[in-house]
Amino acid sequence: MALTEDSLRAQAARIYEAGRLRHALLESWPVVPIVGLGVFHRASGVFVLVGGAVLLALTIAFSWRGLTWRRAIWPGLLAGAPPLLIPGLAPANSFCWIGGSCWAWCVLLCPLSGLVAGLTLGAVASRQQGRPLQFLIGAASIAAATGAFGCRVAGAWGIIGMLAGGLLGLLPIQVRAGLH
Amino acid sequence: MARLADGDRSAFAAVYQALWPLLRSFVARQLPPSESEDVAQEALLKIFARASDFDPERDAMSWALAIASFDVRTARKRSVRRREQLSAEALAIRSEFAEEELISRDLEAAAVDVLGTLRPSDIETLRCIASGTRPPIPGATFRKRAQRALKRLKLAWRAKHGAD
Repeated sequence: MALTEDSLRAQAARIYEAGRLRHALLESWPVVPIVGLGVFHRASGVFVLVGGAVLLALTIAFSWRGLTWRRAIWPGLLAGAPPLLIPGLAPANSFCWIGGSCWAWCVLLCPLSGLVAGLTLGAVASRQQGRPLQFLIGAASIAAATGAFGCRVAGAWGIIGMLAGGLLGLLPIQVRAGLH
Repeated sequence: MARLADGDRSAFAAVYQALWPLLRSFVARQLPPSESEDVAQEALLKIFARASDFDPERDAMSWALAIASFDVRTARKRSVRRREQLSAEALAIRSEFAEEELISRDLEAAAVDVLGTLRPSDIETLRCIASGTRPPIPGATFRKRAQRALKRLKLAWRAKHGAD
């Protein structure tokens, strides 16, 4: 082999990046059970493919990039767990009356679980040392992609409700950051 | 190394500068110069390939040297295997030559045995043919004698060994 000093350094850099990509692929294993849950909830093939690809791309990209982005993966996945799991637990065809209109439980549970996710992320991000905004963006995008697999049972309104609940949950940290 | 494992690319140059001279001298102490450079480079590349798997709780130096040691051991095994293969090949070539020599010695003995049954004039003619010299006789006569000597030799060989 006997590479020159410069080509050895260049090859080491290339090999390091390839190793990071391999490591990122291995670290993205939680995407498999999340997509599996989507299939279990009878999500459409297109949704499973697109949603799975987005979540996989996000986790691989963040893990490969490293540092704050990488640290945002697990909090994002954990924050996405309530909207992923809770709406699916509501009994089918169960409704309630709110303000004179009929709402399916699963539709109501999506903004609620989104709110829980938003509050959790806000609390975790506030404890982050350095680049909390980067952390928040990374974790929130992973949480949204994860939660979408659960709130899909309530249709597009379920996903929109989850996102709105999540943003509402993040409000306290935004207000606090504004005050500081 | 912990920073590199976390994805901090700015640590790359520092890790490279610290690691390369260390690996080079570590491998050079254990392998001949013809091999040590290659093995050190292999080890360095392997360390960077696995940098993301590095556990920050561990000692980076011993982790890197463990990888280099493994490469040194592999290189040693490889060279031992190569040496064994080379000696086996040399042995095979030597035995092949020995067999050829034995066959030619047998043939020579058989030829001497057959020549002993021929007339002295035939033996002289055959010797002239083998050495490429010409006796002081006309060409046609020599050709005739040579033809006869070869025919007798053939007959004698067949009578003794049963084949041409």
